[in-house]
Amino acid sequence: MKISKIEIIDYNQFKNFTVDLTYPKGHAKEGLPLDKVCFIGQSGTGKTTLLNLIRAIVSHGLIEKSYMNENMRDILVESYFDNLKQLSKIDKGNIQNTLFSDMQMDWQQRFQYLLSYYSESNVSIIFPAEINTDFNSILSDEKEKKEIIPLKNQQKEVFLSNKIEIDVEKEFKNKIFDFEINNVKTIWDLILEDIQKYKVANLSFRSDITNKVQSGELAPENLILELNKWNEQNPNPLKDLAEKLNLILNKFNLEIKAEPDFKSAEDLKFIKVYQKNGGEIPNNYWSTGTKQLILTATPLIKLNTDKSIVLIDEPERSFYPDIQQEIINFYTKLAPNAQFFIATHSPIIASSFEPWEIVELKFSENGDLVQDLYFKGERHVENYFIQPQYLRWDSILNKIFDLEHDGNPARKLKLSELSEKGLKLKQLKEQGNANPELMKKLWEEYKGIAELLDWKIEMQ
Amino acid sequence: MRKIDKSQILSTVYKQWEENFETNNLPHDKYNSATNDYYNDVVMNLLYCQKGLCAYTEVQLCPQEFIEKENWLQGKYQFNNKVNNGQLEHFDESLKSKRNDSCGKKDWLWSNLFMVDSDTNNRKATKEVDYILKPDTEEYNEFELLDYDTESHLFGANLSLPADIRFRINYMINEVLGINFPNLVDKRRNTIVKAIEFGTDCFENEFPTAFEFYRKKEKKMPT
Repeated sequence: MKISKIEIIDYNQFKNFTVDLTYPKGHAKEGLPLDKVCFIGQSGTGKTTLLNLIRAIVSHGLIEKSYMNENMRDILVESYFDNLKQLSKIDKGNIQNTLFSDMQMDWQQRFQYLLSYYSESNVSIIFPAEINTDFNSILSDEKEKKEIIPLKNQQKEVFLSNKIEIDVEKEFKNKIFDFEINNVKTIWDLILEDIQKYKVANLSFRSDITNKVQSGELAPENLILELNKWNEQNPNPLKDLAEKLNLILNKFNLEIKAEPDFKSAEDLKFIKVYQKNGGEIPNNYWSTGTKQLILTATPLIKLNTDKSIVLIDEPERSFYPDIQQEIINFYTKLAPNAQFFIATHSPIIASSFEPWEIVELKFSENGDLVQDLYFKGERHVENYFIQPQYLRWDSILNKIFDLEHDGNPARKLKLSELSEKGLKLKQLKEQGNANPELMKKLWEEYKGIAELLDWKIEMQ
Repeated sequence: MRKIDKSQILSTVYKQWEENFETNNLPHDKYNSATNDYYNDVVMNLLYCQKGLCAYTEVQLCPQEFIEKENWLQGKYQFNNKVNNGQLEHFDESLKSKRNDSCGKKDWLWSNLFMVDSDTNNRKATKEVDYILKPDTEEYNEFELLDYDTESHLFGANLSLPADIRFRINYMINEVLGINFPNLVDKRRNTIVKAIEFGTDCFENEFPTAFEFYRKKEKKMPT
């Protein structure tokens, strides 16, 4: 599913607000829904409101009621299931979806269609900004009360049963991975199920084979042969995970090992992280950046996202600028067919987007919320006058994030000081008979201040 | 990035030690800046040859008094001066042993060592190098290999060179040696423009290559 348009007549700060989420004219994908969208804007401009709206639409209302409310009215969202168009209307907190197909569909047929559409893929993956806060509960041993039915083993017959409503809804809900609402331990158990099974099987095989060698049932020279045979028959799911996560983890001087490493039952619980060429970092000692990376990237690696919508609130959290520069590209490569919706305050994150992928929200003079448009005239690629990918970070702050100053107010005072020294030097030069020692001293002082200003010495 | 004459050996004790490895084809001691007896001698001798400047970016790494010949006695540097913003750099990182290697490689090879601005060295890290811009080789000539745009203050390959050579040079300039790193370009541009505006360029040690190109192109010598 991909969302192509949102219209809000009157909801919270949005009045007669329309946002086109398709590629503009002149683009190779003209008219198709955008692959990724970035919401930016001051706090209170409604970035989270839009994310929650999308969350409600993709989940067909099957989410906690706190994200839907009676004030949600006259909201229209256009989306596509491949070529099949859907129009969703939210009124008084209720969603009414219309699929534009050749045949009229009742409730059951529509969910049946959706389940067949999502037969392999998941519906949505939703990462809140505070994803790290649930880390301890993921590691906890406590069983959860909530039961989640297995994802893939549902039989079509379920539609014929009397429990149809409950089961269909349940199955659909199980394809929504919402790390803010759902019980995260259960989700993680599902995500890491194959890795945990592999680890147990590997452990059991190694123990078994060692016993066979000790009892003489297996000749020691055949040990490697047996191991290789087992490895061939049991592909290691850790390998793919390590290969992908290590692209970023290596920059933290960390790595995930593809080979399973067991010391205790604890090792089966979660992913293990090592210092590059060094020892293990216990889960409780992971940095917030490490947690942020693993908790967001692993679901994108392990879950089928071919038809999913992925929502990430503040992906910049806990990441140093160099990682922020890469993280969007990293995520989109992990889920190349998904549609991403991201909300950010980071100019570096914003620079990963093309101008038509950015929805900048700001208040107009009369207090209404509007989208700041980056094109003049027709919405055509050639009419865009801002291209974040070509801008310096400071230009993004000034032009897109509307920051008026180029630094702390103290910088202005220092620039004045520098300007005075420069004027003095010019005067001495014009006099023509200045003492060289004095000139040299003043020049050194000038350079000292310029160094503090990083030699960006023009007043803005 | 001017040509560096590294034949001026003040650290004769170190050089004898290094030559022993080389003439007998022995692996060097593993690189360790903290415990090696000659580390400080190598650093100060390189800075002497480089006139106190970073070998690549030509920013100043130490005060002039650190590199006076009088600081040396019997092939050893006599003081413990700290060069806070400079690092000893292995031009070709593949010649340096890694932590897990059982013995050293050519870790202390004089011709592979330069003193480099710390930020530049960290950015260069283990990137593959092209010897075409190794500033101490006999054939290196900055005015034949490089060009300098006096508007943008960016270095680039000399346009009269064949395209493949220009590609190699531009890779080294932009990806490896950090000569066009944005903050450095701001500093270089403003130092040159302001020093000439104020008539203080005669006091300036930094960016000699850029100054030379600038003067040649602008033909505006300070009055």
